[in-house]
Order: sequence, then C-alpha cells, then structure tokens
Amino acid sequence: MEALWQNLRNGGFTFLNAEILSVTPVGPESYHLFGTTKDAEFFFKKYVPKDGAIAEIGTDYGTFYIITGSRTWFTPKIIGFTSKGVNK
Amino acid sequence: MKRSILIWITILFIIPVGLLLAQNTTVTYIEGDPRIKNNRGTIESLDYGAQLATGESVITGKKDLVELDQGNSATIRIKPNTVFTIREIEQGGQKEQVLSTITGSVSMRFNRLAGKEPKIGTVSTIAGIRGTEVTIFAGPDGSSLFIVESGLVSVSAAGQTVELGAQEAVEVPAGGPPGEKFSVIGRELDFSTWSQGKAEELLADPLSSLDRSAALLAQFKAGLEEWVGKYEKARVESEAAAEQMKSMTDKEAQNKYRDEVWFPLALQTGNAILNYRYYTLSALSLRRFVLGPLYMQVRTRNILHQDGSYQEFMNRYQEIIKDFQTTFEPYTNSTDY
Repeated sequence: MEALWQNLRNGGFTFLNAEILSVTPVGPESYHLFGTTKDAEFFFKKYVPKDGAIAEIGTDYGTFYIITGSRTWFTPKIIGFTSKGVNK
Repeated sequence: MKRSILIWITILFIIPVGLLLAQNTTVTYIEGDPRIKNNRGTIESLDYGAQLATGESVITGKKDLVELDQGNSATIRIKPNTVFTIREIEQGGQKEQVLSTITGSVSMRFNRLAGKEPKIGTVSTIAGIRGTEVTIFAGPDGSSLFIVESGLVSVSAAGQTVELGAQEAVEVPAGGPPGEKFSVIGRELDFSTWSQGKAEELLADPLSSLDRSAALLAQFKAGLEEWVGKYEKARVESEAAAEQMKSMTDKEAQNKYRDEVWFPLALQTGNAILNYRYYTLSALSLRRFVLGPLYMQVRTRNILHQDGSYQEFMNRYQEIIKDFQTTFEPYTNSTDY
C-alpha cells in the first residue's frame, strides 16, 4: 500500500481539478468496475464495509472510481480505486 | 440405500477433517499484531496459544514476529512481512504436510528424532528435509532461496533436484529449476537486501518477470489437470463401487467389498482433491503475491507515462489473468479469498 501511494507521488500524479461526478452505494455488481475475477468479487463481498460507496471522480487525468467505507472520525477511508484509462 | 449414501458423503468429509488434525501447530510466541487467515476465509488477530490448522495462513506485518511449535518435532519462526501457510499434499499414497513460505522469510528447526518430517516449500518449490535447520526466503518475483544451517535438504523445482548439506544454499527462480548450490560460510544473507534485489530485477524487466510467472502457472496447470483427471476417474469408479455395494445382499460380502474396494477408491478420490487443490492454491498465491504486486508497481509507476512497453505488459498480464480465470478459478472457493 505504501509503495502504491509512493509511486503515484513520485510519478507526479494528483487528482488534478477533481470533481465528484456521482456517489453510489456499493452493490452486488460493483466489483465489475474493478475486474471480473473472483479476487475482485470476494474483495467486495468480504472486505468492503456495509456502508461502502463508490465515488466517481472526474479529473484532468480522467475518471477515477474510489471505494470508500468505514470512517476515521468523520472521514470515510479509501479502500481502493481504479481508473478507466488515464489522460496524459 | 440412504445409509450407503450417507457413509459416502461422510467419508468425503472425514478425509479432509482428518487431514486438518494431522499435526498440531501451536502459536508459542508473538511480537506485534500478526494476523491469521483461517479456514472460514476470514482474517483475524492471531493469539498466543492458538492452533494453526492445515490450510490456514499466518500473515506478519513489518514489525511482527511469530513462533510456532509442532510439539517437540519442529519450531517455525515467521519473520516480518511474511505469509506462511500449512498445506497438505498426497505423494505416493502418503499425505504430507508442506510448510509453505508464500512470501517473506521463515526459519525452521526440525528434530530428527521426533518422527516423520514434513515437506517445506515456497510458491515455486518443494523440498524434502532430514534433521534440518533451514531458512527460506520467498521473493517478490516468486523466486526462493533455501539456506541450510544443519541437516540435509533436497530442493526440487521444474523437474530437477539439488541436494543441500549444512552451510549450503540454493536459489530457485520462479518457473525454473534450482540454480548452482553455493556455500554460505562467511556470507551474510539478509532477507531485506536479497528481496530488494529481487524487486529491482523484477521491475527492470517486468515482461520477463511475467513470462517466468506464466511458466510457473503452466507447471501448476499441468499438475491441476493431471489430478483433476485422476479425481474424475476415482470418483466415477467409487460411485460405481458404491452402487455395486448397495446391490449386494450378503452383509459379510458387502462389508468385505466396502473395505477392500470401495474405501480405497474413496480415499483416492479424497487424495486427488487434496492434490488438485494444492496446485490451485499455489497458483492463487502466485497470482496474489507475485503477479498482483507486479501489476500494481507497473501501473502506478507508469500512470502518466504509458508507452508501448507498458501496453505490451498490460496485454500480456491480461492474457495471463484470463488464463488463470479459466484454468484455476473454477477450483477455488470463497474461503480461499
């Protein structure tokens, strides 16, 4: 996990000019956004909390889908994210 | 008739349960906050005194340390950032434990006088041991390093075997045979340095790393197909034997048939399941602890600079994952994830 954020930072990546396009509760089919493998399916079933949601974020680098759930104080935790192609 | 079916179902369930209880492994020392992935498929805190069953994994973080004892026959020291699993395989009609270091570093000491010694291994390798103190490194690229302090270790991979004595070591690349053994006298072998070197090699040529993992998956696929074939044959034969047994009217003859014909076939069926599950879980470990992290590294390092070699990597990765889904996923279950 540390390597993931470190690599993104080293690569100069940011959620540039981010805009929240939608927020939807996690449902039985949500894992399809992240892949069709059983790994993706069971990750959602087992490790995404019941209050999980997927935030669709538009940025200058493209659209990202962030899984959120649980909270530290009032802030939801980021559990995972993906993108459908990145604009360079 | 119902009774016969019940016996058949019971036998199928008793075989794995018997395996689970084959060797008690107890947590005798803990530092930090290590976790256990149990046979229900959930991850929980690992407690002092807990019993580790076959199929369960100990997962240590960067400040964790765990020690396990198998009675007076073995002591297993699981170092930081490690995933260690007890698996079981059938070889030559005998069920054997395989103490598997999936990633990270584990040291083991076996007492030669305490009975039969288990196998040890990593994702890519399996090794037989005799009265041994051995340390295993399992690298981020699926490679392994076996370092023998005392006793004998016989390391096999890709159809080749290397015999190691005291103060000898051998490295095994993912998907390949063991390399040349070397002496460790006067050499300090440190897991962090070794693992870091492997990670750098991995990222220097990610496509070759994918190919090595694909070669290893192909070996697992061959093992899986062999044992699924044996399972199907044994299942058909044992079901036919069960039918034959049910049709018998002489109670004594029926019992004799059950003991001499049907029961061995039922055991063969159980053993075949054990072995195809071994190859399936090895493939799943490779996908999770080698391919997954490699994908993450390549994707995040290139998030804003995706050239032709990046696309080539991603295409090859997707091919491997599709093949994994078709070949191995049907033999996994929810508790494996």
